[in-house]
Amino acid sequence: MKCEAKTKKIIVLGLDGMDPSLTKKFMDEGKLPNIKKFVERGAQREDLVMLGGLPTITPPLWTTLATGAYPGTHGITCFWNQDHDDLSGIVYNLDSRMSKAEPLWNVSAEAGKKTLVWHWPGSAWPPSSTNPNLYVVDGAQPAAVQMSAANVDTEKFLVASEKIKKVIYKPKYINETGAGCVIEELEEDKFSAEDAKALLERHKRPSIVNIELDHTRGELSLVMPPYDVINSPIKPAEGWVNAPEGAKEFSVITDNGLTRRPALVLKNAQGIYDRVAIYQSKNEKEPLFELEEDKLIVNVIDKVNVNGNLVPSTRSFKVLEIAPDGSEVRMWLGTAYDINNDERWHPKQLYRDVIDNVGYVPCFSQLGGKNYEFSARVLQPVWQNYAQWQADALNYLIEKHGFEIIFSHLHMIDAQGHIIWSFAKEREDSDTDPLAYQKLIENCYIHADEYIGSFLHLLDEEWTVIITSDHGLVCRQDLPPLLGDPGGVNVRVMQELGFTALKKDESGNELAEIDWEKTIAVNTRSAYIWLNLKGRNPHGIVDPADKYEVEEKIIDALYGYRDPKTGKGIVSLALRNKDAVILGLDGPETGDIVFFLKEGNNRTHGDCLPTAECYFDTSISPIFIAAGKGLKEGFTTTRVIREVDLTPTMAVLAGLRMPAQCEGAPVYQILED
Amino acid sequence: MENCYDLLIIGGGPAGLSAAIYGGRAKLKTLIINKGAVGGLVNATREIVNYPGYLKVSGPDLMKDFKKHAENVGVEFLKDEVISVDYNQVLKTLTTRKGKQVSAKAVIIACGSEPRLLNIPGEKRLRGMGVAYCATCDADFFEGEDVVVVGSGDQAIEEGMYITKFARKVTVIVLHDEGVLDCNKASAERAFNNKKMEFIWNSTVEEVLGEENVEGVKLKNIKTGSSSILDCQGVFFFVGMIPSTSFLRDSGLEIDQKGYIPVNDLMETNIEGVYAVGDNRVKYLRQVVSAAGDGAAAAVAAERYIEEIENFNAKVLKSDKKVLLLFFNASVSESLQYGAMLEEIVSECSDRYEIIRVDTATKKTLAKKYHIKDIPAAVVLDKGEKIKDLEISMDKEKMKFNLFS
Amino acid sequence: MPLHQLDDDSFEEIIYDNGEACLVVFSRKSCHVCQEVVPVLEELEYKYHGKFGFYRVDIEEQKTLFQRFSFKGVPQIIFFKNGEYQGKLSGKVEDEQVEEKISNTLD
Repeated sequence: MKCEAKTKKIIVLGLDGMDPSLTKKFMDEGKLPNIKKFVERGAQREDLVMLGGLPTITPPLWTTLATGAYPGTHGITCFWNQDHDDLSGIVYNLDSRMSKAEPLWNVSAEAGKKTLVWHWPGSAWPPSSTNPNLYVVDGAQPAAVQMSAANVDTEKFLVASEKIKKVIYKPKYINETGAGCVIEELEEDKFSAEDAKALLERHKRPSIVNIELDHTRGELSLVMPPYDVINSPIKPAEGWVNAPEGAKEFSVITDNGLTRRPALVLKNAQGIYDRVAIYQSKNEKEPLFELEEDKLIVNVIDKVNVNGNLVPSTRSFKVLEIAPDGSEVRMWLGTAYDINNDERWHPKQLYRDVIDNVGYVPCFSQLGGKNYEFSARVLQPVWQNYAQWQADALNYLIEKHGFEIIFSHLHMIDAQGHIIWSFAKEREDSDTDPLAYQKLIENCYIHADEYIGSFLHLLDEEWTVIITSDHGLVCRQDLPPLLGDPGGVNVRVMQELGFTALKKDESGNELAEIDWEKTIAVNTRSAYIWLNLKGRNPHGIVDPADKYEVEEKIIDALYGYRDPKTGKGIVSLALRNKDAVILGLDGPETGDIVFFLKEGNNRTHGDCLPTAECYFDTSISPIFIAAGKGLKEGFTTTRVIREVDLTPTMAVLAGLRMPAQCEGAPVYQILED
Repeated sequence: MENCYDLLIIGGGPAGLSAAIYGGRAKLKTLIINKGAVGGLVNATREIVNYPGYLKVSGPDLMKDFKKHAENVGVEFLKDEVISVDYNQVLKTLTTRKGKQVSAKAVIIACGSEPRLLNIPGEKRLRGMGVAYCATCDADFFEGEDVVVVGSGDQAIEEGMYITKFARKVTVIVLHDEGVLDCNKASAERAFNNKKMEFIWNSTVEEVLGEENVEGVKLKNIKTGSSSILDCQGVFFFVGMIPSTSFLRDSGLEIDQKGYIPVNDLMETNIEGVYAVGDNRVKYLRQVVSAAGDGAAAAVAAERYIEEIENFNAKVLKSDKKVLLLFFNASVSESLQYGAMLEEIVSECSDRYEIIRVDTATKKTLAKKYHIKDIPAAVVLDKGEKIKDLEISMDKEKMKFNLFS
Repeated sequence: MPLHQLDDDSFEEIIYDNGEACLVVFSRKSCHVCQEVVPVLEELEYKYHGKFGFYRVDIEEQKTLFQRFSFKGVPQIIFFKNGEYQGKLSGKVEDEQVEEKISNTLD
């Protein structure tokens, strides 16, 4: 099927985690002027809602948005897919080779349209067409461009003080308290650096086994990923070739503890300490660069020591505090990126072109969580800066390269959502200020509005602009018993229900390992339960003849399960694989049973139906706003717009054939007659 | 000569130290050349429960006692590594890595064995980053993590059980069919009952995976040929030992295909005055107690050998007269009669000969040197050089003729 | 002669401030491989006296230094020049390997 083109140029502005409910709230309050202009000139539903696909997880849904196929059809069914040889194993699937559906960008490139796929975290990397019209940038993990291949040093936070006695470098520190970053020497780690590293580098692993044993906490409730902590004494400058009078010194440790840059705290003419200068060594006359309090410095080039090789890399800095008497310095150091790494750019010369004309790819941050200062002074401004760079890069490519079809993705809202959204509500275990965090959420949307505003001019240049997301994010109510966390095997509820058993050691202590001899079924990933079936699974115990009966028993048990704290049920829907076709979730890559949690039991997203709403007007739904050429202007529709509908709508607009596995329908109602 | 010893021992493990103690007590000027820590591989053993007289002792502690004992009897130690040997002369010469030359009348080789490497991808690159060979050194770095042990001998299973004290889980990769381990029965039983220990049968490790640290291993099932990946943070290799005898390759010393040195009951090798003891010799049992036994036997054999060559030097080589070496053995009556007859002839007829009796039961090396196969036998020497084998006859006149013609 | 031991302060000073070309071996007493490797270094130190520095960190005594480098096992020998890390050798090593690494570091 092919129609006559209604537009020549379409850009999808994908904003991961963008929620129509919050967007409408802030827009109606007058805080999102650019989005308002798009809505006023565009065609969408009044509530800006798109009916979300299932599960409400990033890689499957971005794949759906690009192919028009349901997850059951394209086969990307969660953040990780199932390892069929080991039910406790999960397989990394931000990899286009695992998708079974044709993306629209291959169709457009093959139709002769110059097509750009920018950091799309759903079956975009590696490029699946060799057509020279197809340009692809990264997309091998959700966070940001370059993170999947070029990162050579983790982000860090440094505290230097006259009170600190010795230099400490604590790699991959998980700060659960939200307090400052001064390490007590004999601190016992709850998490080892190895665990933390495994968490950080999962996207580099083909498969993992993660047995989640906590009753309520899973991967989705971890609000701050690990980072490196540096502590250094501050002392009078000593042994320097060229240290100004009164300067004080401290050490900045980087590169897995291998590199030390000496630093000076410097005072101004009034005798107030107000600058930090970082040197290559004490023998240098001039510093590498100087930092001022509260000023974000991005993309300083320094050499990062990687296994003894000096790799020119970018790094960003922000000093949060310099005590006026120079007795304390606190500062953030961003992830370092190898500036010569063009591994995730196709064709490779695109990288050089972008960095030469727009600047190096800036880093993003994952600091924040309970620590309000990190959230407000690091996380947000760093993302704001990244979004600005991305807008500049896309606009540069539009202007200089004549792209006609662009699929773009920005992770900013989802990235902050996981880290700070939950603190918009008062928490028993935290003394954070909900109102302050609500303000941060608002700021995040304001930054999204600025980003979107950078593309407003396209409406006057014959472009069609579609603003959309994969899912929204909620500010959770509480932490219900753990079920449906995407990070691995969710043990406890299934254990209480008598379906999953753990191995025990000699003294009867549980091991983080499934006892397959006694396990009938496991819940792995967000929404799936697999039976331990004879003949199919290596240690199967369920007779295939009993499969139907056992499934029924499990479904009944899920519906009957009660949260011990509230006495209420937590599962809203559970279906057999064959029945899950109504959700687009049947087939070999989902599970024998597919289930979702009830509204109010959701952590952030991923475990519930896309219609779930929660505290502070947050919702799980994705957004759909479309404006420009080929679309009605200032139009609202009551038509339910599904995620599978984006691709056919774009195909119709651009006069392209439908991708092979497309299951959605064009949103006829919004098309210009 | 400063660098000249009676007895030189290569290797400071229990075999070498025992040999040295016997050598020292026999007043031989004895030197141990040892490249690592004195005690050798025993230092890697946490617990020894089968060395007589010690109910339970750690490897390093036991070796400290051995060393103290050796020092007490005047043994000298040189920390260096022997890189080449010259066994062609009566006085044997060794050259060390630091360029030192040392010579001795007798040499005992006690250089033990070292862990075998599989030489698979990742093994070398990730050494110290999760690839390990010593549980005592490194096991606690794997607290709460998954560890793979490769091998199923005593060491693999016992070290594997030690690692379970720290690791979350220890998976042993075994070459054999299910249930078959190379280790002793008691250890196997304990290992099977250890809940933290798991076994993967019929499999080998093909590759160690990971960028900076070990992240997993690639296994191959040798029956089905299929490969799989097992996640882990550590891999300990205990795939047997190889004798550390490669430096002896061109010395003329007999070494078997696997690198072990064959010896007889006296620990003698194919070269006289050179002995091999402990783990580097062909033997049935490789334990501290048997190594010590080897060392004692070799040192006593060497002491006799040295005594023989010294006697020989003193009496035979420096004699003004021609020397008649008379080989006898008390168990062969013919040889005793023959000896008596020869002495009679010499005392009757001449002062041109000096007779030296050689008991072949004890002075084997001399018999061997003069290729004596049957006794009675006699050899005529002039200034230490053999001038003829005496034809043997029990006829006195005929013998006279043989001697003086 | 035993190698000079480093602690948190002297590590900063000697490795980074002085920028001396040197190696640091991380070892522990209970490790027999360390007991073999350290004497090799002690011998070499004599040979390289004045040209290349040899230092030792006992990981039981200097836990923070050990933790900093995220090592997974001992012994580990790390090499520095002008305050820049030059690479490392792990596990049992022979003197030729150390000398080769020293000469690479000095180049």
